[in-house]
Amino acid sequence: MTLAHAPKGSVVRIDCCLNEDNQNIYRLLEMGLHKGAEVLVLDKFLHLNALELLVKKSRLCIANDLASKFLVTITQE
Amino acid sequence: MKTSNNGPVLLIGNPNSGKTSLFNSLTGLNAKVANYPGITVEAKEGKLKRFNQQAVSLIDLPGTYSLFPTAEDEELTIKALLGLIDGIKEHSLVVVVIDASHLRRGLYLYSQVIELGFKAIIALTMVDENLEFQDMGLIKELQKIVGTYVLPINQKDKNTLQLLRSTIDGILAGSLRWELNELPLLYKDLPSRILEVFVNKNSFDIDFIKKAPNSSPIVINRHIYIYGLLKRKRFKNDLGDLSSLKLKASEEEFLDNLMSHLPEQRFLRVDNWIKNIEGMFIPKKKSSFDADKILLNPLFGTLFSALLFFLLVESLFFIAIPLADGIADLFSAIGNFSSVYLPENSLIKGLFLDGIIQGLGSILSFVPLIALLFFLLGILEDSGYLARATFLFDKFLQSFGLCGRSLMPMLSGFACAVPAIMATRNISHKKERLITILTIPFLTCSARLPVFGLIIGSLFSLSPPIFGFIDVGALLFLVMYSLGIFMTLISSLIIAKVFPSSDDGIKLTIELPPYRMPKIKTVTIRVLERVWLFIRDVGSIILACTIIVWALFNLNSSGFVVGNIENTYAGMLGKTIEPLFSPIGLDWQIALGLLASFLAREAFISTMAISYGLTDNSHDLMQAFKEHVTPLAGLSLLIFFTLSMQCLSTLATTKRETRSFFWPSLQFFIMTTSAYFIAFITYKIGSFLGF
Repeated sequence: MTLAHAPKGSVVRIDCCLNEDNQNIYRLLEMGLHKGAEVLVLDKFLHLNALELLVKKSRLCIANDLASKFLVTITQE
Repeated sequence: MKTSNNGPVLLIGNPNSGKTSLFNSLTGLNAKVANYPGITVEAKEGKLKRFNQQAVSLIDLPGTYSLFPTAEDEELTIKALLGLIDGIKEHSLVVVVIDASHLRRGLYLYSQVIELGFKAIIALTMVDENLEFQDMGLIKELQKIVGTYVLPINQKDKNTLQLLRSTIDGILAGSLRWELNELPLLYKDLPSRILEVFVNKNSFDIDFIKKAPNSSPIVINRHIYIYGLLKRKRFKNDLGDLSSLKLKASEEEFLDNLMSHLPEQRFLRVDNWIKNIEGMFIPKKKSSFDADKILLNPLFGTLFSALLFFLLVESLFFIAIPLADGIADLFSAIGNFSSVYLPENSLIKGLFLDGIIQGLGSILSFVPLIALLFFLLGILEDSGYLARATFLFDKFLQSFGLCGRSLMPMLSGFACAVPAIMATRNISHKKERLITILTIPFLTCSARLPVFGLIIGSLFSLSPPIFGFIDVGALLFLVMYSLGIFMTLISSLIIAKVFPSSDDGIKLTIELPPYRMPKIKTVTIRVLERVWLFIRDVGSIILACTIIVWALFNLNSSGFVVGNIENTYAGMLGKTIEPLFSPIGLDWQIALGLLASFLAREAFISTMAISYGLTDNSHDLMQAFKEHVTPLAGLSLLIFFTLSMQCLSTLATTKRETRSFFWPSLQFFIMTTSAYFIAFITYKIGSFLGF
């Protein structure tokens, strides 16, 4: 499943990332969304097509199309 | 690159890490905004006093999360670090400012800095919000594991600032030793062919490689870093070409794979650094989360944001614009007072009153607008709210090629385009910032309103209501405002499509900082800087142009002309360009008024009064206007005035912000041609329909 599909309140582990050459994706890797990182999905904003994450103890809002580039496994519902 | 003890000290850090507050505390009010050739974003430069030595330059660079830039302001930071900017070729020390609440992310940046072999120390801010860092035991532990000096900074405790100052001084003087225990390596088992290429200091013709310390890990790390930058098409003009490395496709594939794993490796290192001290952290209150339940709510959050921005723009109308008018009136009074000492109807009196005094008055009348707008923006930014508002409006504005941060400058454009264009500095991405700058002047600013009043009041106020209840004048006001908004959005969309983006397309990534009480001192310093930059850079252009336009309206080949505007250079110019304006129904007198309104849009009214030979410019002018201009020509003029670029100060501000003549020229071209085209179509359709 992609990060964009992870339900609100779940903790997910990043398995891999597609299109790492894209500088916006690479920036997300550098902000903590790297392989193996655990991320809490704090909120989902359907009208804004975005989601809010807790990454490395910081709150990050990202667009769903960016989140869809990260394949994840849910570790905690 | 060697580090020089005479070079500046660089202050870098994540956005919202408290870097600028620290800079202000260290340098006081002596800092200045530093501009660098070819770069439109700015850094701040101040002097850091030293003990018994000459002060050293301290440069506050724009915030960044990483040394791989994604925005123009981050590029400045990285160029300064790499010694790619004239004036910052060599730096003596890097102070990495880390917010104690976001230790991991800050240490990630620090890790990148030391990988490249830069001499760096850490200033740990926000320790007053993270009390555990006031425990020196924890700081010493952190210092030991990261291998450099870690200085906790409490803005309320001057001793902490003094300790940072003395540490910098000690390192620069050589009395404090700075040496990393272990240099982090970026690679494991690098293939021998790549290793061979990457230890060669002549592979790139730049000091960053050539003057690298004689340590193979640093040289190799720097090569890997430059490879990553060039792969992302950054700094090609400064760094050269990847082809100079002569890498095979399989070697590039190896390096690409290495690059994609580096963030993970760095975070593992950072996690390893702080694992022993993490247990000492105190859990935080979650007040920002509670507030955001309302402020990020799709309905209440958007309504709150819209209401807040509406009130902010209203405050420009009700506080700043009356103050601006007051300043203009004051200069007018000063002119009248001093004019009694000058010979009547003389060139010197005209130049002094209508050229110099009016020019100075119009420059200073922008100050209240700029000051208030930047004060309000500073409060929003420092409180952490601007990031939320940006998030809420980003998707909508991105559909027009803009971004969330375009919102506040756009709304400010309804008051005045000059401070609004200056406020685009908050937009870190070059393309979005340019689009915002270019299209803001389409929005109906307050200076257009008196002219709307003249045209609508004289030509349409007595028109019978449409359907018996819709007032024609009110409808025209509404249509002109809507036309301005429509043209702003549509031209943004077109420019976004025409000019390709230099990056991979901006997609929303916003960090939500915790809510904090804004620091009034930091905000006030920023306001003073903006005001001073406007007066220095834009004011001089406005003053020079005011004098040129005054000369056009008051001189001819025989010298100074009294009373008869028709015989001046401007009068001649008006008649020369009349054929251009006749297809949209306008005569030479209106063309003259449009030329004069370049100085200030309101000048249209006084110029029309003079060109109609009137002394009183209220009721008589309306009557004269009605006699000279048909309602259809008035509608055409209204459209032209709404959309055309009629403001010298705006063009000067665009030139200042883009550091180029191309963009203000393009802005003038886009606005004036679209204004002419729409006015032309309207006039021709109206004529065809018999109006």
